[in-house]
Amino acid sequence: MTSNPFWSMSANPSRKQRPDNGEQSGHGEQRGSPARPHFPKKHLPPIPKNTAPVTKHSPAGTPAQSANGTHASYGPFYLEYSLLAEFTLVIKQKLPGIYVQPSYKSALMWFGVIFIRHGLYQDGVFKFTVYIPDNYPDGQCPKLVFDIPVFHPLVDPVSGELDVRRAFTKWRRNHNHIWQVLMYARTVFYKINTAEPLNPEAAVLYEKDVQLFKSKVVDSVKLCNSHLFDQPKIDDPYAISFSPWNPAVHEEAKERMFAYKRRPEEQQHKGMQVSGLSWVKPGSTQPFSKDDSPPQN
Amino acid sequence: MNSVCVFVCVCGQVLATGLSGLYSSLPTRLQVYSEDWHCLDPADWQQVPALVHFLHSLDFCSAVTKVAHPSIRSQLLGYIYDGFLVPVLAPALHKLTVEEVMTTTAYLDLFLRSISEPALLQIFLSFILLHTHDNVYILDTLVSRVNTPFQLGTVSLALFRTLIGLFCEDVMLQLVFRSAWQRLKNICFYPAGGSNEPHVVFCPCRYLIPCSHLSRRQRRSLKQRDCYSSSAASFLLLMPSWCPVYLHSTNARSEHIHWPKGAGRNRQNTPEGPKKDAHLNSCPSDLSVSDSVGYCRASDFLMDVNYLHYLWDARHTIANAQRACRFWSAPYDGTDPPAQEFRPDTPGDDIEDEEELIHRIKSDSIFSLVITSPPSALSPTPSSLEAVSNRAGRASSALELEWDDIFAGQDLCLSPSPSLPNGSEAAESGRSKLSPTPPQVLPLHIQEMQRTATKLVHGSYVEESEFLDDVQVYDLVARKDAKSAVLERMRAANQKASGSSSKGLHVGSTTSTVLTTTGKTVMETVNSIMSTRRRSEDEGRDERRKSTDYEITTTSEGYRNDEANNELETILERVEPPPFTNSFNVENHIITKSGDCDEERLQLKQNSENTTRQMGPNQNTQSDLCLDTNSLPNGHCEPQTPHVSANPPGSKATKNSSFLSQYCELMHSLGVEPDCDDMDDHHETFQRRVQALRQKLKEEDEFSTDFLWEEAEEEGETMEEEEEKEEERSSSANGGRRHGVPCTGPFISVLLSRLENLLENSISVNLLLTGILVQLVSYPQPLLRSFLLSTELHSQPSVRTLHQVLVSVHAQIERYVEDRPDYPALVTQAWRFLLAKDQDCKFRECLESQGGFIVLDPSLPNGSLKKALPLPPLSVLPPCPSIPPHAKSRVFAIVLFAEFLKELAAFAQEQSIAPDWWEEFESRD
Repeated sequence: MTSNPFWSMSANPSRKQRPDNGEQSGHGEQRGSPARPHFPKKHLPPIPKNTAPVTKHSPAGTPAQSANGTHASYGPFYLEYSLLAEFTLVIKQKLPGIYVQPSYKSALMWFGVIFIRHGLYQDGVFKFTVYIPDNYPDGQCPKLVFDIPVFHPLVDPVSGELDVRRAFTKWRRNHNHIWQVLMYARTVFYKINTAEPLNPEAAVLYEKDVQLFKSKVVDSVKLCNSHLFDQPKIDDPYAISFSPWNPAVHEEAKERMFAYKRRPEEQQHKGMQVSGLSWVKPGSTQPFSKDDSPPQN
Repeated sequence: MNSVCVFVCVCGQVLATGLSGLYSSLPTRLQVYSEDWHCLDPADWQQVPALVHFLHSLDFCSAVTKVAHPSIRSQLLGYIYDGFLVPVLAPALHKLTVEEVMTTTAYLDLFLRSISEPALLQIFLSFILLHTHDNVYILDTLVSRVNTPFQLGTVSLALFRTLIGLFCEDVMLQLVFRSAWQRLKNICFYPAGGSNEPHVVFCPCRYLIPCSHLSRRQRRSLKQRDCYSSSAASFLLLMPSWCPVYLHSTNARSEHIHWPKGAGRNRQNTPEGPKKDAHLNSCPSDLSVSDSVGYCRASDFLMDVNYLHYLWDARHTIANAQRACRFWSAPYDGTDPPAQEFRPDTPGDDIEDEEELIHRIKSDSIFSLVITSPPSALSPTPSSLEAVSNRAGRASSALELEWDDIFAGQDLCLSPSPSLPNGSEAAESGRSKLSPTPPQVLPLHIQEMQRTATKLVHGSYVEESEFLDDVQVYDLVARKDAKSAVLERMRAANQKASGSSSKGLHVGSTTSTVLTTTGKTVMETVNSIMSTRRRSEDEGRDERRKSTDYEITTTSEGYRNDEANNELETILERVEPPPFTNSFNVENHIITKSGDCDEERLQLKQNSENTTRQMGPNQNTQSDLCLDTNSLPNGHCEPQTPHVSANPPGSKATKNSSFLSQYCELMHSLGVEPDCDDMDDHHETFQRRVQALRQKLKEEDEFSTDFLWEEAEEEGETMEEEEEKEEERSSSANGGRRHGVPCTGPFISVLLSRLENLLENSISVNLLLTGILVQLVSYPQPLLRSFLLSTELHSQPSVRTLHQVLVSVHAQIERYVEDRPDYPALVTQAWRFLLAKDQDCKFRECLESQGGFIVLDPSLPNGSLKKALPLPPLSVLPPCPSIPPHAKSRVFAIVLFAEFLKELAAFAQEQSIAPDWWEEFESRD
């Protein structure tokens, strides 16, 4: 009958849908160049919902990585998907006031900005960059460097690097995730720790003269905010940059944000056959338990 | 108005009867041109005018259903259900010959694919899921047929591909997720006491929902992601060692992921990059086609690039599946629907009356059809093995291969090695080390049946002797054939008793005796399955008798143990039936624990004294037996449940220890060393392990203690451990759940068992199998996803995962190729050819869909390819390598295996980053 070309892999009907280009664009975009991570749409509600700590995987699952070197070719995929998964986790955490965006050039570099909403550093808007070691997740913990060195006991006054390592002395895969680093960066501004400071001046001031410390902080915040509209330090298409409000540019985007449509892709796929079916009443595990169930015997 | 209604009613009737009429004009047998054929393509059915007519009228029904008034619609659907599906299609699915049944299955598959109207589809699906024909659900019959070695199996697989492709919650619930209590509720139940009315008992196949296949920790981590692609890595590790994929491609790395740092400099050409939000500086891509095209220059670029295709496909398919499952009622994430109420350790929480309880108790015992009939039908004639096995053959034929499922779950429990506390580790390591003994091929009986059947078909049956070396066969045969099993068991026990050192040998020899006889009968069975079945329709009584035989067959273990129990019971003066002498555990013990042989032997001795008396045609004994047999868990699916559910709620746990001591006493008094201390042993080792683990964790902790999450985590973990410990403790107090066999349902076990046979399967079967598994892997439900993609060693040694099966296939391939040095080259050649052909097909498909216009869309992963590669004319394709015809399917199977691994890895990776499907349910509330 049909000549059944073996390699059409016809066993999976979904594969046959491959060539209709119309619907691919949504996903195809990110796949365009294989290495670019996929960024799901962010939605960051103001209320934090990050109470649940992520429990670890059982270490039994760790692969016996390339014992004979044969799997070197898939190594990049593992790294890429590890980072993608990390990014997905960040999004899931909905960290309050933190936005990150992986760089265009390297998935190992993430741009971010943190908004401090109260406390000593209130109104601070600090841009930063996260550098992830390329042997992630088996290497050191990621570095987090503020674009402008914030006046803070744990921030290096010259390089702007935050002392992350004190919180993650040893980066443990399955235990530690990048969102924790981001979370830590946020915590630092609300709960000030002066032990073994990178900026001794700030530490001493905080201990001895809080008022002076406060004023220094205010200055620092002002300084940072005054540079907000500067070009990004790192030249990258995905670097985070701010610009003054311009209705012509921003109004539309704002409206779109507020009129958030659930699942915009729904319209795209209306014509598709695969719609999924269910006649199961919620809470039941009986098939056809919905009211309009068909005759049974 | 009335007249309109009447008219419509009549119209509905006409439609339904019209369907029936048209159906009757369909050819009852399809001429099948190739062995690969598995479903009716348009090209096929367009050649059959009757089929075209039928599909047209089905279309018409769809259309009417769509536009009609709800009441009329329901009437019409009712007519179709009662006038076509039940009276016409159901019998047609149980027709006389394999060919006819296969044809009907293909029709059903075609119908399901042709119906676009959900309401009409619902009717068809409910017919499949809920209708019982001869007390067997259509679905169960269909699932059992997947295992047939004929084309029927292939066609059935195709049907399931269609069913799974519907993304229908109801279907998946019944196939994969369900807990089976609800099935029982639909079945009428006749008390067994002397009644010769049939009662039907289905196993409570609590497939995935109860999470019994998961440890507590796994259950908690269901929703977690596999952050570091460890599943993918594990799958890819199973690639054949000589696999050509790795010949080069280390150079691909830098181009791929680690974007060259300086790559973004040139911003001149800015084609359509991803559109970012407007408020962010959007500076679209400059890394376009050229960077990834690098592959094309590599020698084997197809093999590399093809993983990207898999990833892309996976993403696309997963997104589709997520979208399709949007309207499901529950997320199936281990918490909703709640696993707890289906867990075996909560007996009797929803039992209202006694009958329900009996129901439930029975349900725990057998996954099969059990029909009781007057004891005269039992007529034990253990005189000739031949006769007995014949009977078993007929019996199972009456059940139409249902037994395939029955045993599928059973072999699982045979694997754990007795020496290690964690049996799965032993089994696993044994498998991966390519041990010289044959691997744990799960469905030996299926293989056996397949081979014998094939041989029969080819006209020359040769006795297969390679199965004989395995005790499992013995076990299987024993189960297939009650009386011979009892007999042989006793014989074996005697032999063991006489010279326990040469035990294995003796068992082996007895096995061979049994096998040769049953081997033939099984074959005969296969041959006569359908005819027996059909003829029996008007010989209801006859069939019932056969089924009774079957009952003996399936419950033989329980039978014997029941006797043993009776014996023990009398000795112990009505102590409650011991939880751990249930058939299945004993079964386990005899195979895995040499120590338990003593116990078994003892029982068998007792049995042999009592067999005749017990088996006599005594009405009381019979009914008694039925009940007891059933309440005795033989645990085809879940032997651990019986500990609880076989007991009247709350009665046994307390008496357990006292029983144990009495049991020990009894054994001592009989001069046998009881091994009732082995549970404590297990417990101790477990505790030691926990201790060691803790120590390790503590050491780790010393490095990093000052971060709050970790501490909380640690704490949670400790608690978790405590819980697990507690769980273990309580369960071991209940009689040791470590021998429990949680089951994942017949469908998954059938799929996996067929997959394990990959090397022997035809190409089309393998394509269907891998296709279905990929479909399943694309489902977003955490329960299913984690079950299929998890590559961790399961703490439940009895649960066979996809990964374990693949490990076994990998070992098979390595072993196979080891002896045939020409294979790697052959496979590589075939591989290149197939990949090129696939590529070509894709281009062609693309071309056709674009009307000859090649799109250069860099947003497509293969966009770059399209640009780089102009459409090659067909002649450019490498010639199909000359593979010896007998090797063809194996060579292709090996290629397919490797590609399947890639595909699975891709799905695992994409699943790990897919958006959380269940969040929708959270936000829905």
